[in-house]
Amino acid sequence: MGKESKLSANIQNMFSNIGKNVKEIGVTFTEGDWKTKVSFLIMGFGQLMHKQFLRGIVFLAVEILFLYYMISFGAKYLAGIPTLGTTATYVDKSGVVPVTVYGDNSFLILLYGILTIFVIIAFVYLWRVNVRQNRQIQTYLAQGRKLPTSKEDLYSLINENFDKTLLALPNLGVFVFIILPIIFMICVAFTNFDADHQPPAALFSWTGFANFKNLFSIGSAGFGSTFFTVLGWTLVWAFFATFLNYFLGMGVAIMINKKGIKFKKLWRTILVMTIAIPQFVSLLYVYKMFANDGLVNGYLLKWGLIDNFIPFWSNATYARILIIIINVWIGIPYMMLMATGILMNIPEDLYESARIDGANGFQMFMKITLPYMLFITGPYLLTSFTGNLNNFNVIFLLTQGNPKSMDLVGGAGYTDLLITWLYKLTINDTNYRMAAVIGIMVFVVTAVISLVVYRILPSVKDEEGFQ
Amino acid sequence: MEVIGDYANFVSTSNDAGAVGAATMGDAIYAFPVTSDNGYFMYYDKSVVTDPTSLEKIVADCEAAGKGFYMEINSGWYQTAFFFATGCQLTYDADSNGKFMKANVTYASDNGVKALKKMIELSKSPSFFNGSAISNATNPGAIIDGTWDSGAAKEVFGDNYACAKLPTFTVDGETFQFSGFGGFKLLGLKPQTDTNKAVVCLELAKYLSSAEVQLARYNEVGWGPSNMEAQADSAVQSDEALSALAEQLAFTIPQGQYPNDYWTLATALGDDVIADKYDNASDEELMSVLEEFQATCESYAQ
Repeated sequence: MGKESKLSANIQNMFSNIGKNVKEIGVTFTEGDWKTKVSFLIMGFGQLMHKQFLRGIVFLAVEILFLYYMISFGAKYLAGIPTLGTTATYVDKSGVVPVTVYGDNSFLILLYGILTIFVIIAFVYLWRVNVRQNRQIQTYLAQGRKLPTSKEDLYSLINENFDKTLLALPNLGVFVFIILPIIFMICVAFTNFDADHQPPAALFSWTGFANFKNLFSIGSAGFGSTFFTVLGWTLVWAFFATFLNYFLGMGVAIMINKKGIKFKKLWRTILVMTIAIPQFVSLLYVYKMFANDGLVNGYLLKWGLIDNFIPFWSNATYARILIIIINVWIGIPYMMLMATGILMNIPEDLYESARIDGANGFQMFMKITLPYMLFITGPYLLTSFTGNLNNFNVIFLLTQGNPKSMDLVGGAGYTDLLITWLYKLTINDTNYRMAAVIGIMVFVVTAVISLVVYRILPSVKDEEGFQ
Repeated sequence: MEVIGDYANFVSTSNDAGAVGAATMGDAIYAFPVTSDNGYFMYYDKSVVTDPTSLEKIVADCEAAGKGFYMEINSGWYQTAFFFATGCQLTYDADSNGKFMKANVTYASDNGVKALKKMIELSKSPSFFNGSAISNATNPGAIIDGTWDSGAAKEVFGDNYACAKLPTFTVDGETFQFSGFGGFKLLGLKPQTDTNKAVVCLELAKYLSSAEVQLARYNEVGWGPSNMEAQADSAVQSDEALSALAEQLAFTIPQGQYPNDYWTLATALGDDVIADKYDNASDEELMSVLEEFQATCESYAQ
């Protein structure tokens, strides 16, 4: 089945599900007795009348809480969602001293509006559960079966419904700390929430796709050319940072593993030292070392190797190359450690038979070592690549994304990754609308690359290749 | 929060004119000035720099001694020293709500090109380093810095510590005196919804910016006062760094309000200069760079 037909099948499924639900609700109402019918309005009524007190009280409480929430809090924020606020903040200067009278707060309207939408969805779901339970009560009674008592309901929470008990808290956490903020940030991408529209002093409002148009518009004020420059460097960086580290780390591990190499532990310890020192310390130090008036330039000048300092960080190309090289220095040890373990695991007889057949070292590497390594470390390579796309630390500690240029807008520099640019847009420029758009783009880039590469990984395509 | 009535009178009568200007947005006063020392001048090493009045001689001395000349030309704050010197203008008119209404920029002019040419020439010197924090400078002969670093400067230069107003520089046979921003530290108030709280805040701000507290602050941390009564104090009058700054202040313009984006844009221009992008540029090419700079500056006020 093709992907498109799969998708349309999914959509069909969804609609038929909704249809089934609506039909069942209708049937419940028409076939229901008066207790069931009242339960449509007063949740938990049927359950209470049939002495299922726990269920009845919980549903009734849910309904009361929901109504209270909507009337006292939710309704006004929900009503504000289409406009994100209309009353502006102003200063009242009629008194002895000026006092501020706050108007609508677009930020809170958007946040609580989204929250209210979710509360409504949750309420509809619970209402549906309530209707279903009433239907269940009637079928049970018709079949002459006993209804579960409150005690049995409580007991089920640590028995057949134990999964729900365990997952309740994590799910709530995921919703509050992950899903709600993500949806909020996606919504910000469609507003004009920036330095000129900062609540509570000013309102912001919906602007549709204006920010996305801005991101792709090539022109003096548009973000287009800057976006593609930064995206290009992000991809180049992630490619080199991943594969240079991978092959050099593997090379170092092979060299240290070779028979006849002395002091193996010493070499490994020296390399692992770079892991032991926090990047905050080592990278900031290296940044200073390569400054125009830093150690490296100082010694090169002193020894007469150069007449003028090398602008390691102020020249975009030098800075980019240097970042990649420094990243190799801090990245090799991790890969070396991993490769050491895997290399020791390759069956020695594979090499022996290859040697008997007259293969040389390079052939053995290409035919045995590399395929084996790629098979085992494929998923690691993928996570490492996506990790490098968002490798904030190395870039920000070394260059803060600089050097900047008049050719780039939005405060971006030539060594900025999308993620560091996003950081600058939010922290320095409070340009939340463009930052949200770039955040969405980071997601798109990472998702596309991960999914495509994941499908072609040998470890996924051919799970039993090396067994 | 806007400062009105007696408080506004207090601000405008007790502080120097530059500080009052900096605290004013449109025609409303928005802050209490605390210092008038947020400008820059030059610290230098007496044994290296023989004549602190000319940039060319200072740079030549530093080159000869193998020392560095530090100036943060990729900062929108230090950069104006060049442009204002040759007579360029860069100010913004804001209304009393802080909205930028109009930009007065004349960077795209012959004067602007001269300033940019000097920046490029300076950046080419092997002695030139971009920076303004003396504690981060490894080998300084001279540095353009402010009073906040006077302690560190004394430590670095030791017995050879000296300060002076900014030098002059020569482009195409014309000599200009370095200008720049005269800066001020201001104390602002968060808007209040309650009249009583607002009055308490205003009283506190008034006290914290009074002559008495400004003098105490000068004695403890060396901040130069903006209050005219405190400025007249003999200890303030005889301070070496503050007098160099006072001398320089005659050539500067008081720093007003600038949009956030201006500072980023200025850094971009400075970075381009430092990255040798314009090293071989003709005057026409430099003019087009400045035209773009000016147009972008103007786009911030609409």
